[in-house]
Amino acid sequence: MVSPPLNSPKDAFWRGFLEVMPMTIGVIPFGLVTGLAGLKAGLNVLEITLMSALVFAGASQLVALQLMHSGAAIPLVLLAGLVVNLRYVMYSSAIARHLAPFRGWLKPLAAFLMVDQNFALTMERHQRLGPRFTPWYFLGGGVPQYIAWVGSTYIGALLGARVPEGWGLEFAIPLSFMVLLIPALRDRPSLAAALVGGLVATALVSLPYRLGLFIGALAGIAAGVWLENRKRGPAWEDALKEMKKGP
Amino acid sequence: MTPLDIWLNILGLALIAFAVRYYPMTLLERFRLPSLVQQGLRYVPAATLAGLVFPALLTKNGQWAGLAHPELWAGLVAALVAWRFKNALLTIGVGLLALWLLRSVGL
Repeated sequence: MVSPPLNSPKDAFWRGFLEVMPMTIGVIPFGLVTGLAGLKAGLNVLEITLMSALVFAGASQLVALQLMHSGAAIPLVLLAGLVVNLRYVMYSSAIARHLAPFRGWLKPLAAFLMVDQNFALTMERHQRLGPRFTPWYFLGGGVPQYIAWVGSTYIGALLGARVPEGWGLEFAIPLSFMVLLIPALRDRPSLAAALVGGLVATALVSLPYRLGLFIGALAGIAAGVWLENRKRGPAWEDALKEMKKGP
Repeated sequence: MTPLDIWLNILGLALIAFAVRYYPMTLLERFRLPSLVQQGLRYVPAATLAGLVFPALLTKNGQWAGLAHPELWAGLVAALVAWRFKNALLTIGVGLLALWLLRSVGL
């Protein structure tokens, strides 16, 4: 895709907005299901919608609602929410450098709007965007996801049990992750990271709280780092050489 | 569950979801990560995204789905489209269409 050059942070914001927009198709069925799960857990439409607006983390909301439905104690619900969201610790660490130019309230706002889609797209595009535009691109990418998420959980709660299940629309969720995954496979180590991460997560898919995803990610990262370092020696050896050479 | 319980859950989840997204990035402005960890962070997108994609193509209800699983073939078609055209809407559209076609022929 050839895009015209960006002239202002505003341009970067709208570029991010427009590039994430098609991926909101995957969010909508997920939001409908979450709205429905909220009803089953005994929440009313207002509580369900505000939950999405305040939490904005689909998988953890769904897990928490299932636990609330079965009458779990509050600490258990929160612990499950934390475990499901552990991948955000990795996302936040990985993207910290690219969001560093943001000051004041923009940084917590960007953190609040962090999802898989704007994270992966920003990691892919930051070199071409440059440090000035990258944080605005990220922020713009979070907005359509937020609107789609809050809106679709609200509609799911309103429609109740009338959401058709046979359409297979929920398959749009892995498809939108596929769109992000393919460009992340830049070289052999990243391909290895994906294969190991994907297969370990698949093997551990029946673990509770999506723990398999987190463990798989760690295994995949280890595989990528190992393969990269096997080819050219570990990063710390480079650093050692640099030190010996002096400034 | 009382309304108070519901709100405590919602507010607690909101705080957790914000903290895991915000604190790592702000702490990293003051501390530098070891280079091995920095190197590892570059593989976060590939490893996590694959963890979100693979189980949807390979499993059904938490079990290994085998080859007669329409999601697997529809997903492979979508991967090809994503790689060739780099277009989100087209990939999702073709993937869903392939799934419906495969289901309608009874796979």
